[in-house]
Amino acid sequence: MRKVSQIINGKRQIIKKPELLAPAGNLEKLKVAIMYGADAVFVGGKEFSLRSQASNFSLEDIQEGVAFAKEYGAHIHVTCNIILHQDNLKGIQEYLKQLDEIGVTAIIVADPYIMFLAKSMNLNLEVHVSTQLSTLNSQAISFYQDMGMDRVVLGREVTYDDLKAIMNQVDVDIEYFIHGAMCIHYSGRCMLSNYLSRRDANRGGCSQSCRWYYDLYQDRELVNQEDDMPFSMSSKDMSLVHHIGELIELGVDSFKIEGRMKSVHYIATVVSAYRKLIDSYCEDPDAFKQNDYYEKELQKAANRAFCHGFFYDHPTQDEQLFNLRDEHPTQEFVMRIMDYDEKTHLAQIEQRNYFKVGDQIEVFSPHHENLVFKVEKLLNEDKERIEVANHPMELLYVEIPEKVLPNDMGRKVKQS
Amino acid sequence: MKLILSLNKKERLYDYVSMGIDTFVLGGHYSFYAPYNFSLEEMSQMIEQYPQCSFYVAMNALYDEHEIKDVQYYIDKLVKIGIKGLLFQDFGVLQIVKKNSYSLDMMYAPETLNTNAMTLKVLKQQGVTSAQLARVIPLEEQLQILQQTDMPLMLQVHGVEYIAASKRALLTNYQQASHLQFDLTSQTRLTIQARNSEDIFHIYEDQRGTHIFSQERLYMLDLLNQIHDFEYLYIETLMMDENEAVEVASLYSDALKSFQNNTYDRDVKSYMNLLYQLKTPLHRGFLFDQTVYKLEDVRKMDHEKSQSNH
Repeated sequence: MRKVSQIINGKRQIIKKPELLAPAGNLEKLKVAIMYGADAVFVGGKEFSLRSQASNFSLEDIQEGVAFAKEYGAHIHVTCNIILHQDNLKGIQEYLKQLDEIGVTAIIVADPYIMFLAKSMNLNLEVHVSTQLSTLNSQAISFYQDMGMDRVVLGREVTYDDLKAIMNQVDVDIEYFIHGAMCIHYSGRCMLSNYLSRRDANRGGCSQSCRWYYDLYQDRELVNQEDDMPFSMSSKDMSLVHHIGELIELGVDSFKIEGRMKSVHYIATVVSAYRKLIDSYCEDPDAFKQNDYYEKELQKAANRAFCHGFFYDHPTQDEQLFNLRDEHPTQEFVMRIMDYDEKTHLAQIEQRNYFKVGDQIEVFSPHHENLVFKVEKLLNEDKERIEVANHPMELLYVEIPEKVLPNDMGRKVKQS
Repeated sequence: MKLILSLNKKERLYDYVSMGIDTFVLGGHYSFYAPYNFSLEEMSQMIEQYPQCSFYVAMNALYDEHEIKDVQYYIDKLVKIGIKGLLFQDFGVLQIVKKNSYSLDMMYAPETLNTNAMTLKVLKQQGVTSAQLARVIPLEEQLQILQQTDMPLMLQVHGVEYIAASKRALLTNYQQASHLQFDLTSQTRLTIQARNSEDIFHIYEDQRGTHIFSQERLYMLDLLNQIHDFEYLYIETLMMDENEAVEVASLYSDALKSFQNNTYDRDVKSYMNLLYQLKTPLHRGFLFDQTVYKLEDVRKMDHEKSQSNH
């Protein structure tokens, strides 16, 4: 059993706080994740990473991210989690060496060849076993431990009871998903995208074919007629917001948030909510009372309904999306605060989505409570009054009665 | 080059052995999928009855922590009845075998992951003794891997192809959500077809979750000239009735003999005609096709396609 708490001055306190590990699809998101409370951020490079896209991090970006993270005492993990084909074998050693020199804390790896290389090159960086390998049991973890792996990211199919048993048996770092989208099939073992789109799911091309609509046939006869619900294999997103205390008590080393493709608003909202929740629990675990504040915060950036995944056991139909994908964020991200003049109460903002005079805006921050104000005064860059903000990334001024801070974010409160 | 076949009916074992096939994969209690799950007693009987044959057992699921002790116990039983080896994809299975110093051929068969030679070299150092190559890579790459790997490799030459598997009861969940009635446990009755796609897949559910396979059978009966250096040529009999399985096995068995007698080039057409007469849907999978690495490649492909259409 891992020791996670001890009595200090008559009060039990958590002494083993889990790492909060957030995703980032670009440098802006990386910085926001760290500013909003992530202990570590995982990013994908241009090569060898799932979600391999042009927007992924160059080595220079990773270097800048590492330098930024160091200022906050945070860490950068880089995903090198593709399954290598013959034509992907070149260049890995050099890439790993460069990541190591840059000061990356860890690489997340799915292919045993990269595991072997990273360890045989005597690099400083840690090697973490990716969830793409769907590791579900302590024997498999022991195998990776024998290979010198520093951490295992468990498959999303691991239930709380199994996690508890695993935590009691292994002494390698364990990372567990707490929030985000879920593969409906075993990760790394799904070839739907390959067959339906010719896009390789294990090399960053997944077309999410599981979320498409299908017709079901029995003995070649259509089962779902025109008015019937089509067959689909789309999962709701996982959120373990109500179970963070239980997971902390197990001594799980790292809590992972999924979503490298998600928006900066999503990253800020989700990281901030879990940061506050973890800190609140760890400060006084025995007095901690679960409330719905954190879930409500998370829902403000959610684009799918939440479920518990496999936390209790097998997900039922309630954990899947059938007819509607339920993609409707309750609040829309409209501004990022750049500066604030306490004398004039004018905040310089970077506009992100359309809003107008009269709208209610909620400002959230890693440093203070949420505050809501009505847009009464909106000025352009030349400080002339305007009525609407409809040019993304434009610098504007808006009057906010209460003090806000740079990098706070504003979202439009949905009118009921 | 020898045939290895997933056994779908104990009573047809004699037929297969008569054709000269002596290596079989048996489904059992812990198989992820198999044409038939044999009991330990049945396995033991077959091993005793056919001492000249090698029997592998498909321990090819991903195992939860709560069942791993039972898996260990089961492997111990399999060792005692004298199986040749295990087909596995969970490294927990390999770890159990290593820790107990069992003498088994450990064939790594993770469906989707064996896609390069260097990884297999690393895994050989970790105790993997043979491997099944992924089907989602072109034949050219499979041959490259064969040349660069020094362990016996298995290539699926015939049968339905694994597409995906979920621990979830996806058909049950859909049935409950839609209130539609259908038979969700038959391996062959249900198919799904994505809207706007021509591909049709088999889907079924069992105690391990939901399984999706191609409806078409991969075939390589006419490719022995290219693939003859593989140690094992695997026939997947899942979703075949017993007659189809025997017919297919017989064709491949004859083709192998013909290859060894240097008459294959002359006979292959007639074998192919016999295969077509079975009237099962056939395809080449990814043998002469390929997936793309990055989304940029998809866009490039789409662009090239649209240019060629103009």
